[in-house]
Amino acid sequence: MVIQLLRNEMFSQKAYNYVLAFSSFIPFTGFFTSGVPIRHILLIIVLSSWVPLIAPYYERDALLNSLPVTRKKIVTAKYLAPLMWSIPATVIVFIYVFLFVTYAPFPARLITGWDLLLALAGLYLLISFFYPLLISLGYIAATTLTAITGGAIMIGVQMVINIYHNPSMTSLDSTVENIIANPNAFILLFAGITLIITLLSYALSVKLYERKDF
Amino acid sequence: MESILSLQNVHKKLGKKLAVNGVSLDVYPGEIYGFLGPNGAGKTTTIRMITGLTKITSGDIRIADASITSDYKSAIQHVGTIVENPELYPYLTAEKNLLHFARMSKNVTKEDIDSRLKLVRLDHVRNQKVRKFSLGMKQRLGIAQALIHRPKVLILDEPTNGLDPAGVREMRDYLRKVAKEEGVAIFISSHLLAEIELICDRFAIIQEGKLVQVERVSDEDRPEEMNRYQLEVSDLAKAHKLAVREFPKLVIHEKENWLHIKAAKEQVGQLIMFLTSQGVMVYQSVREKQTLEDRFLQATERGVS
Repeated sequence: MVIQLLRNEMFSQKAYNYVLAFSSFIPFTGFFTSGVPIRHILLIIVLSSWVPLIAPYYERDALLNSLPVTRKKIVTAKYLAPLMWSIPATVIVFIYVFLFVTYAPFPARLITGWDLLLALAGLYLLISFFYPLLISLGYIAATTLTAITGGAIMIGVQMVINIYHNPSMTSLDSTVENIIANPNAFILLFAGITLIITLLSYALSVKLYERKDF
Repeated sequence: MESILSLQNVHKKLGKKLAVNGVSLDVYPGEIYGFLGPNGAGKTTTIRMITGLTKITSGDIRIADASITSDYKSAIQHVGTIVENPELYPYLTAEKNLLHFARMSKNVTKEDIDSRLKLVRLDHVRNQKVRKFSLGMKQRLGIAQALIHRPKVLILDEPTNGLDPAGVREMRDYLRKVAKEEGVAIFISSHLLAEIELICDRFAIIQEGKLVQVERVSDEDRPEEMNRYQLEVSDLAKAHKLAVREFPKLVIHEKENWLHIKAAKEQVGQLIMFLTSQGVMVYQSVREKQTLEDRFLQATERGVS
């Protein structure tokens, strides 16, 4: 039944959701790329999360919840949907990067397995934040809070990048240097923490959804 | 016959308020059951509990003998529903809406989709997007959607809301057909009494969360103590006096040259014989037909007392 629910999400979208998802190429790449992998990772996150974040707006709760399916399975399908969407998103971004690596007149590199792991971890961090909010506060509040938090995190990361060489913040400098020196270890740590957060978020969402009256 | 839908002492608390208070009822295969009540009486909450949209605080609901609390999947697979408005995707075609629902139900074939579209006479617009549909067409498609997996129970909350008279009549025809030909039990909540009177076999009235009355719609089978009769007699005053003396337990009064009696059929016969034996001529005896509206108002005014 989880598979049917995932198929439902795939086929019940408005066509222009896909067009809108694709348009996220513009802010992230400007249909060009500097070859910086983080842009590609962010693009995979945005493309993969687009439909799962938009879909609840169109969802028919009464229909969905009167189907012969437990609420736990509905939540499971919600948490698996981003994984499903990450497949076409990765393929599209991979082709895009491949074309640049092959034809661009500047050095660039293909997406690696570590990049993908980082993208998945980022995606699930976002989703883990979004779904409990969606279930408890509703769509508008959940999307607003998620967008604000996502934006704040991106600004925060950019601020750290900008100021980490500050001599008065030696601990920050050494942390960032450590991450730069051991990116894979950082990705593993980040993925591990995200996995724990995702499991906690899933358990919370199941509990909230099972208690919810429609 | 075993009931297909059974509510057993169902309670629902919303905050501190008891929205549904010990409702018990049974609906049988092929039966059309009306669920009446004033606004805020607990109709929609009850329907939401039957369809699994709202949890039961206590009691149980059994559908095809499966408990909705302990065996949710088995119970709910027998239910087709429209709660308030049909849950349709306006940007998909009629056929794709049904296909989409069919994907999430077991053993629904393409033929099922075709036959349901034909049943509700939407097969000619199957490829049209639902946003272009009139309200009546949407309701019809909602019925088709609710029936696509061949449920044993169809739950409808105010199904004729917003429909014009032709649409209401059409809806009535589909529901009758489905109940008669497929043995589907239909549970309809409504505040349109005339509508319930025309379509339902039995009805229940809920008020302030409590069931205050369950009756057959047809007057013939109503409990005997509820029957009211009028007698046209030769001497009204004498007849009244004699009747009250001989039948002290009956409610008897004079009104507009008629003797009004609330009694069982046999008692009316005995009264007529008695009056005749006492020299009062009885010209005619008429059983008062109460409309559903009368019965609804009586029940809701009497309340839960």
